[in-house]
Amino acid sequence: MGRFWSLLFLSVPILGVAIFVWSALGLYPLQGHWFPELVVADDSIDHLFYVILWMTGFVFIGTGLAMFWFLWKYDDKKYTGPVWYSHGSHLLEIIWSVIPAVVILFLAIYQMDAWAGARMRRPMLENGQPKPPIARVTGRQFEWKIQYPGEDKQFDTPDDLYTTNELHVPRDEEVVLEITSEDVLHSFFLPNFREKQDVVPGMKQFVWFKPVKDGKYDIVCAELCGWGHYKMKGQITVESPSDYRAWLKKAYDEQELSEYSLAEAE
Amino acid sequence: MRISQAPEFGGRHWAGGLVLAALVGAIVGCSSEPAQFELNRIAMHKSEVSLGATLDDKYQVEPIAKILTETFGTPDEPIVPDVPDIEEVMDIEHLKMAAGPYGSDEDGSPRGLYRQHCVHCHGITGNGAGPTAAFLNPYPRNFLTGKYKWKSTKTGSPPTHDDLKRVLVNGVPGTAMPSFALLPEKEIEALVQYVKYLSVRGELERNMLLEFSDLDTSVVKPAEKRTQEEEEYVASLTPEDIADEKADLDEVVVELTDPEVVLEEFLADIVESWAYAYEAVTEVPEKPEVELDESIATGRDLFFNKGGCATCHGQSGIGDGQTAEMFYDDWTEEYYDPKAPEHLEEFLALGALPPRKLDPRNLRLGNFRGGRRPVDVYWRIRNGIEGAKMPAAQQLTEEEIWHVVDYVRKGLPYDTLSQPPEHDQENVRVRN
Amino acid sequence: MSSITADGQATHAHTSGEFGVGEFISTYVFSRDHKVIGLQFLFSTLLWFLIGGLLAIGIRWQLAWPWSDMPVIGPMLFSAEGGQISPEFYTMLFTMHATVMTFLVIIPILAGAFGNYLIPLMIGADDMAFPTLNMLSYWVMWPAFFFFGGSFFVAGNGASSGWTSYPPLSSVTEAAPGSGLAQTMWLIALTCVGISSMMGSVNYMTTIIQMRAPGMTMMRLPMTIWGMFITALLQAFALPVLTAAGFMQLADRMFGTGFFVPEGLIVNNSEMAAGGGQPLLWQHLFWFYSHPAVYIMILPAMGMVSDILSCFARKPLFGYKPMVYAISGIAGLGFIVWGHHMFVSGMNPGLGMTFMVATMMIALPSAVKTFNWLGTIYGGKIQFTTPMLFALSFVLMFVIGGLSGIFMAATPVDIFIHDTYFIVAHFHYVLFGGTAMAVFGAIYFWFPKMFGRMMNEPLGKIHFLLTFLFMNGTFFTMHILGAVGFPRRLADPYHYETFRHLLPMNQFMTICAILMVASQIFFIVNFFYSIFFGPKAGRNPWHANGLEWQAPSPPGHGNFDFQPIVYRGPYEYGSPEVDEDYYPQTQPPNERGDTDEPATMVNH
Repeated sequence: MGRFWSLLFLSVPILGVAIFVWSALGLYPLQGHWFPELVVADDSIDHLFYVILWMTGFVFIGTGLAMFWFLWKYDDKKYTGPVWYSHGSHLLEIIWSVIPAVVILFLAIYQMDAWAGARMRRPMLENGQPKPPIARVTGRQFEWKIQYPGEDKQFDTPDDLYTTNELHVPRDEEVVLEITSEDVLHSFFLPNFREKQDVVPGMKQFVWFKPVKDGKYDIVCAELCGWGHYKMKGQITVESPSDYRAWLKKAYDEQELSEYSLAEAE
Repeated sequence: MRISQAPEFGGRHWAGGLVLAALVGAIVGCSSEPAQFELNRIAMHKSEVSLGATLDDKYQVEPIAKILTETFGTPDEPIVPDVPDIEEVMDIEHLKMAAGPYGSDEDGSPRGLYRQHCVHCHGITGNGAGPTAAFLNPYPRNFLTGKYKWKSTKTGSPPTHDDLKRVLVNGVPGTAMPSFALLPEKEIEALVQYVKYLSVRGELERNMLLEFSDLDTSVVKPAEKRTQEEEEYVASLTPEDIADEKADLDEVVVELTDPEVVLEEFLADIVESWAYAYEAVTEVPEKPEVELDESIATGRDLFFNKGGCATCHGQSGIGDGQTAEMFYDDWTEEYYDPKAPEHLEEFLALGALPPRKLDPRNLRLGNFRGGRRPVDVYWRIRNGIEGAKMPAAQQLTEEEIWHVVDYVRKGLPYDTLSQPPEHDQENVRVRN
Repeated sequence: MSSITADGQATHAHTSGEFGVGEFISTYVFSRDHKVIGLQFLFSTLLWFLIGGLLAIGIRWQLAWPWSDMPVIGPMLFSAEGGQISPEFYTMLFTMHATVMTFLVIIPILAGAFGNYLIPLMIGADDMAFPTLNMLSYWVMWPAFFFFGGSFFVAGNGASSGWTSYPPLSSVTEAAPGSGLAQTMWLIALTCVGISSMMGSVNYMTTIIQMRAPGMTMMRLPMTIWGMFITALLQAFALPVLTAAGFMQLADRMFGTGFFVPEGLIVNNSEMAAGGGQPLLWQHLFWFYSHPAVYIMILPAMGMVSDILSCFARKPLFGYKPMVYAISGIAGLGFIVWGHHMFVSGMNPGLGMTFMVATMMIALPSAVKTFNWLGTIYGGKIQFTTPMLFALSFVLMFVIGGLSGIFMAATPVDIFIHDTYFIVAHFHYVLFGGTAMAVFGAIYFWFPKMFGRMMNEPLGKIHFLLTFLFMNGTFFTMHILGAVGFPRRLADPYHYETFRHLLPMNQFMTICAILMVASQIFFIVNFFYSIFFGPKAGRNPWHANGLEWQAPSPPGHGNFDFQPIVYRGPYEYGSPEVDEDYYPQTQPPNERGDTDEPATMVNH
């Protein structure tokens, strides 16, 4: 049975790698079982994921194969040689401490820039001021309330535009959003934008990204917010700046509808 | 060196396989009954309370259930009743999309939308008492009465198709009703029709209940279900009288349960009111061109004086006016009379939700449940809010209403409650 | 060889004839004997393991066939809704699954069951240092069982704000259906579990430091005991923080304080009076305990696996001292990495960088351990027994769980994969693939000591094979879902366009999960059958070195029928000094004999 069990353990790295490769290539029947389409300019998160995937994949295959080989070879039913009576090796311990340490240190330093770009370097205006948000997104059980500041660029003034679950942003611009919550924790998750930030009541936070591809994408709530957590679906629309401004105007006009007659309704 | 052998402790105990098979069998073999509409037990018990007698199963309850099933089908298999103008209200294609268990049919179009999106709160009959309902504030709408708050029509008329659709698309801000704006047009249409279907069904059920509870069923009731009074009445009758009354009852029940009678005499009116709801829409005249600040100032004056809004909504608009009277909405007053609360326990046992007091709206939260558009607010003030205690503002002219609209929408500063305080907690460290 | 098959009980005075009811209760119910307490923990936690597994099946059912009738539960609870469960019931399912598995299964089965049973036996003591405290540590679990169990029957069917219980969802009663009485019961139960763990950890530390047999130096302790010792330290230092946090949340809920509730909240249309708190404070306090708790849930398992691997490789443990330093290092670092659960929580991003570096460092000792395990099986004579198979699978699964951890330790990658199924895959590989597999291995391994009989090997191997296959079928695919960004805790993820096409994959996982739970039937049957009808085991059926194997099986009250004296470490397999390929710790040196009968038998 030793042979059988060795092969069983061997199947783990083989099938594991196969599933990853299969999904990453999008082969039948696993089409679309990999990253959702990236629609922002910054691909550093994907890049970093692949770097780690290659590294860990290498270690995974290495340990898997080593384990298989040891099991295959040193099965007590087959192996007739002597037992290697050893309590360890100082040299080996040093080798397999130092090499991972170096690799991990490299990784830790390598990723810092991507993190700073995503969380610390908020886009600036030409005058050196932080770029103001184009909209405020407020999580509420169970919807995303979205507020545009309107012409005067100030929130909470009479010309604000309010929408629910429907966020429009211009393409090819650095977009800054103010995100917050009015009741419990939510998480503002844009899978296609590789963006996720918990929204915390009482805290005002900002996220930013530069969309480069038109389309409609999901806004997902990724932090448990109650029974209707799964209902918190929003939609973010990326469109050309002119379409974006046209949409703002149209939505504002609809919001200010102040006449209603039956003829019009039909 | 002797090498120890791994001990082998074998056995032939394959009982595990049997147990495994039994477990898998139990899981696969376990299927539940198809879903059924439950009767409106709360309305029935209300008639019983007002009659002071119980309803008879055979002569009063079962016929209603039979009529409803014959006219509207089951949650899995809805039927569109054959009455005039029904095509204005619902069609079977859309109902089938909304009804039944969640899934999709052969060509991939969705099924069971109501059970996917609505049933948890609104319940399978639309009585607003799904499993999640008790935890929500305010409670979900009970469709069975046919009364709706957020509509363009006058009190007493059903909402228009567009009204229901607007609620579905925008949600009801400030409540647990979410926005379904991202559903495809066809699915929203299906859900709107299904809501109407449940409403019409609920209204028919209530009308039939009124008819049937008028019947005197003392003679056919089992003795132990009779009240003292009924017992005495039955005792005073001769056997022939009893036989006569029984025959009469049989005849009435047969007549009332005749599908033609049901459709023509009871259902047609209900469907008509839904089909022609748009005729009851309050038209909104164009908003006069006035400077916003001026309009707000006028509106503020009306709010406090002529309009009388401050009486309930309070001096500062936060909904803390003089409402010493215990207010409950119509859906709660279905089963709860604050002046005679002794029957409440019985209704709660039947699945009614614990009554919650109705508070005047806090206008400073920035939430407009029925919609933020000026026309929506205009309708609220002009027509009042059906089912709630908000009265129609008969005393205000159209122009005056517009001023109040401006004051409410833009003149009242939002309370800090609606916004998290502006702390300087930002996830940003500015670096140059 | 006579002493091997000798019935250990026979060497002690008790025979069934002397037993009265009172004595029965003091021996088997309110017992102060560490072995009985250990078995009490074992049976209780295995029962909860089953409950937790069934809750998991509920979760998987909804994800594979959303809003369809849930068998058994659906028609019972939700007949008016056509048998489909309600969304708050789903949130309850995953909350209670995680709660039960973490607090009622993994922690108590490692520390409570195996810690209790093995510590005195493996260090050569006759019992724990504080037997009464030990008894209390079990009975304090009962209020926790009662409150967790009872919370299924109150409004909301149980706590439903996640096992992490993040406020304001958990601390505001209006916020969620399970945030009422159920959440209060949850917090009280959690406190009871904490008290129990605290009692246990104090006891274990004292026992290990004070009650080792002559010659049993710290560096001759088996790795299991090292794992238990470090775990006890972790619990002693981290638990008070969680207990305090639990009381703060209770106060927020019951007395209107506002530790975790910011001002101006409007939850479920109710305006909150309390304010001035910070939701992130809870997360810091919670993870300050719960990150070390992750190591509480794995270090003893690592220790047990080391013992099993060495025994069945018939070869000394490779790098004993580095292993000890590695688990100490993991424990030490474990206290300064809690922030990696909070990279996207709104915590200061600068702090995120610090935690990221510390977290990455944890990969080091983990790598050292893995390579040492591989070194242990290299050049041995590997016996593929059931416990060995489970231990080997632990190593491989832990590699997967450990490597996937590097993804989420990388802060930018965590932005994308946080709260997705990638995380779910990661901790299930560590906790199920790792700890649960180790626990199964340990049960198969120490079962002969506990009950004096062997478990059935073929059934055990079938159990292993099925569990191993279906586990990987269930959990490996979760990595792929995580790469798509599939979020956890969604009752119906398929109405997002991004995730709609993932339904077939989820159905595959659910089928695997159901079969995985069903495979445990083999274990249950084997376990109970073997208790009564398994072949007699004798003292040392595996030819192992540890002290516990020199005691009778099962050991009587007071454990050893001789005074154990320790001459060497526990991993002297294949030693050239003796003819046998094992060299028990109690066997005096230079005394070559052909029997493994303890040479220092002393009556006492």
